[in-house]
Amino acid sequence: MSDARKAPAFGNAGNDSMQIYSHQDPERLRDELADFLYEMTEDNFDEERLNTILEALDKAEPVTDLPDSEERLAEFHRKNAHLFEAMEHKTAAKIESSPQKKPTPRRRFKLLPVAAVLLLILLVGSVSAQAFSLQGIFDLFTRWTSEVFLVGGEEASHAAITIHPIEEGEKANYDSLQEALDAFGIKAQLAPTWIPERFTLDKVTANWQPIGINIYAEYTSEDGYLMVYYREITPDTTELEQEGPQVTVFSSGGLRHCLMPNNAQYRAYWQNGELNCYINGTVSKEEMMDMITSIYEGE
Amino acid sequence: MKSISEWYDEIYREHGAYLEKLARSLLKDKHYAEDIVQDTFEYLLLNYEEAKTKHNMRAYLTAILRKKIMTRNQLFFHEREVELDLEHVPTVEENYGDSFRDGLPGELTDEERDILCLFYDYGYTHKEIGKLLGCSPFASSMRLLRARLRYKDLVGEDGQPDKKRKRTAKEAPKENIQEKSEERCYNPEASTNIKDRRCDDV
Repeated sequence: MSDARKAPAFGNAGNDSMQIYSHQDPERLRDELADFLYEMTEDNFDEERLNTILEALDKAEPVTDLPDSEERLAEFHRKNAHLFEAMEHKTAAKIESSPQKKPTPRRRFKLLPVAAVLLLILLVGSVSAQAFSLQGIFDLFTRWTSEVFLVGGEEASHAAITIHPIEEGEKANYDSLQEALDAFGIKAQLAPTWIPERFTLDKVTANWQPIGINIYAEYTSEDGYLMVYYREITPDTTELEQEGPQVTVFSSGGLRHCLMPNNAQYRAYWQNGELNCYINGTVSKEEMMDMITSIYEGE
Repeated sequence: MKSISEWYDEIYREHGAYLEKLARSLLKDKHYAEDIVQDTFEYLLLNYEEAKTKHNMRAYLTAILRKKIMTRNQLFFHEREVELDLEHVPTVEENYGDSFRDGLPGELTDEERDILCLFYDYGYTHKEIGKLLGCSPFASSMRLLRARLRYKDLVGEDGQPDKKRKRTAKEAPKENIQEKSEERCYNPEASTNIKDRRCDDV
């Protein structure tokens, strides 16, 4: 919070602030709590201040019927047993490639043969543990594939970044939009499979800025441009534009897409899971709708 | 070495109650808060590799919770479709007879009415509302979310404020709101602060 916006009373955590917070009404304390969350990062997390606000809020408006932690934990295990199993297997087999660093996509492909050999060795090791029986191999594959599909199925309709191949502040280039989405572990269908023929792909870039991760593909034609981009939703994300008189709502793939003219251009925006998605460029409304439709054609 | 399940249970036991309380305190709605916490722990599990490298798990979980609130909040606002009932199309008089404020349920508090009017009737953005009320855009969106959840409780699934009736910000009378903002020591000169810059950057 900037000093200018802060009420004089909110400078310090601890006893002083506890006294100040205790005189506030619950709605204002909730604003304080939201302000705290809005500003916090993992690096500047001020647990003392957060506890002070929560304590004051609890005094002003006690929460009495919180769920029992053990019951909730058991319920979570029950509901997500497949996720636990899938994650255990993933970790045990070390199949998931390390998401820590990915200098360039091309280099990743160079490592593919090495990964395949490692995978084979690990697989053979696992099979040995299954007493070398053919049924064991079959079971292993059946279980593995079913779990992977279960995880994939959970996420298929909800776009979420599950892998961070770059660090905050870094940037990476990719050969295609789908390759970039795959690199970030985004399983939902987001990339158009059809683009008007006059456009050629210039570059696909992903960067991690303080406001979140952006993935964008830039296309150009003789006298125009096209951009497809995705922005991670963070607390700093502004809401998507409201629907207005010029906006056409187009439903495809179970999602609502807003289409809006802008001089000789057309713009489309929609939300899928944790990403705001945009297509913008010198295209007609029909072309825009065709591009959007092509996203979901594989489903 | 601990299994993922053991690792997860340990984290849940240490931070689960805290997250439940945080979500509930912020959102007021029990079921919505429980869903958010569920989303948070699901994310933790799916991102095990990343999560196990974190030094401050509470800060990490709090940041995920915030992200999950934002995600659900946006879905709540933008992906809700209501089927048109051609048998009972409301007349213009029914839609526009009373003022927006008067049409809201009497059980809503003044603050809940204010935020619903500011967003739906006057068409302010959360950034603008934040400036008026002296809070962050996130706090404004949380106020709106709580008011909408309360509204839904009172009116039911089908009743939601009619977005078509939004007016532009220029048409909106600001007197009442300004009075409230003065109560919160809002300083108009302070509007060009870090938060505004952050929002403009988005």
